[in-house]
Amino acid sequence: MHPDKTPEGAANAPFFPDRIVTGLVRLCGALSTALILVIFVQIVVAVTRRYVFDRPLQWSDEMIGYLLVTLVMLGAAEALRRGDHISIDLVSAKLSPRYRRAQGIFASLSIMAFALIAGLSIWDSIAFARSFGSYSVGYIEIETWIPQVPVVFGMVLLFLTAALDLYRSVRGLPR
Amino acid sequence: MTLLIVFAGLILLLLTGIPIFAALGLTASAILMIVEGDIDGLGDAVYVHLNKPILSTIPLFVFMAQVMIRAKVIDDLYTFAHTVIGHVKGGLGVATVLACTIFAAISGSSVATALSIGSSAIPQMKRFGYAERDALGVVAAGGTLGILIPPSGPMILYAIVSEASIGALFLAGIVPGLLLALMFSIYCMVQARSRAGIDAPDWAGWNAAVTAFRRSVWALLAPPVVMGGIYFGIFTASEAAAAGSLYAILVAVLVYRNFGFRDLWACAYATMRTSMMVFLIIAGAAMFGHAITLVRLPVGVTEAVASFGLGPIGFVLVVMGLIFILGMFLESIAIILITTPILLPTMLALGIDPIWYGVLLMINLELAMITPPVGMNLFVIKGITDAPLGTIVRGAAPFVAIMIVGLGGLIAVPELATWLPEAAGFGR
Repeated sequence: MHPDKTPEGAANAPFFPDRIVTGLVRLCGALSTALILVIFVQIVVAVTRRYVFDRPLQWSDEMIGYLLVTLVMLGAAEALRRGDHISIDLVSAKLSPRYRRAQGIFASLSIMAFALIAGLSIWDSIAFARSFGSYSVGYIEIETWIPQVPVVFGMVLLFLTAALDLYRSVRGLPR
Repeated sequence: MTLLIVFAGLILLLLTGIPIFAALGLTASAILMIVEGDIDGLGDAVYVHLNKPILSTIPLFVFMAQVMIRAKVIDDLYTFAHTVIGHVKGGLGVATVLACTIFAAISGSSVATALSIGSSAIPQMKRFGYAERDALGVVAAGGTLGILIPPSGPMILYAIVSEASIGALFLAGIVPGLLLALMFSIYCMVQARSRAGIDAPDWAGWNAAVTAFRRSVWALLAPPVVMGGIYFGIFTASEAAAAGSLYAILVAVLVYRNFGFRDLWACAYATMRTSMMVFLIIAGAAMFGHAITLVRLPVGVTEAVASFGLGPIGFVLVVMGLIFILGMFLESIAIILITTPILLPTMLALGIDPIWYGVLLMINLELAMITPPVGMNLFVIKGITDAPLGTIVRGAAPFVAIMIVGLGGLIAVPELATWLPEAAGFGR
């Protein structure tokens, strides 16, 4: 029997849509990276227009705010996938492998809970804003719920990435 | 009592090793569920706190540092410092502090400063007879200047949470940062004279000094571009960060000629990863701040301080003591984002200048980076040298004492921090 066909190999076969989630998270990470460059260029253009052409970009600050929310929500899951989020490992670093695995499971569950709470809460805000029909005040006049949508998307991505980590921890697979 | 329960709960959650942003968000949710019975407003708090244009300073300063590091613009900083001052007895220690100071003014990161300068400076100092403990200590301490000397990531975070001017805070950090660097340098000279066996390289000559200066001049010009723009009111903080990034790219492409589109993308990607770590903590802190405000925790602190009869100086001393203890266990970003929303209303009620307090906080956070058991710079030095942690801690101990003296000096003479921003017209 081929090693991969053993019961252990079958147990390790991913049923979770690993590739889809990882691919989506990487793509969003790339978009987030591109948005950093967009913000950089936008500020340089805004400064140049103000000082050289005496024509300031009135909407620049508002747009940067919206872009920041979007880039954070697109990139948060990629940072989680790469293990970039800081934690205090004063205690967890001293745990035996068995307890460390349990700690990993707890950490994944806590991130899922965070994403669920923030996601559900912003969903309520979006529903309220839509029912209310409110518009933003400023140079960019749009319905207020539109720039909030990336938060829902970002929290779904974060939830899925943490769920993938949880699956790996439970099955004892490398993270 | 509520404060103690909230703090104990949060610290317990942090000690489980879950990410800081999740600990902050879950603590906020627990507070709201217990007190209000629902979690309304938490998502809104995240959105509102991230939708701030000033936050763009964080990725843009990180981006500037990434470009300069990748294009090797700052590789010659230590060589420059070492050529200029290394020939004096104790000069290699001073050169390390000088290189850390300049690097800090470019990178804005203590960890990056310790990592970059440490890998060149430690072998050089050991080669000339410095005890391992002393060489490691000066790099660990010199690296912490990244928090105080602008641009500084923690300073930006504090400015955002306290709504203080980032430009004013940056300027306020310059004099105390340079004074601390001077105190570190004086200690290095005194220490070298009291130790047997420490040697110094020969003076390399003026030609070598001029060559070293020419090789590092583009790195040396970066801080004036950024801080000069803020000081003279040409740029806001985020515009200064973008101008610094543009300067770094132009130098990398036109002068060093080693920077292409792939490098640009790699720098932006590294920036994204570093920024996400900070931004998600801001999101968690936004939830935490929302919850503690709803349960009127900051008001409770103000009332407690009033009942104890603490004046401004008494309050600052107590807070500095508390933050020093927290700094032994918590990461600096978490300390800023947890304590500032709780303490800010009391500070303002007592008439404490948030700019002055911000600089005091930064010095205290520098201490946090070299005090065990959790001190990021201690771990960084251990990472690059594999030296025992105890040796690094002993080497950094004199610098801890110097920083405490510096902190005391700034408490006694607030003008050390406040005169430069006032001279530049901030707060008028």
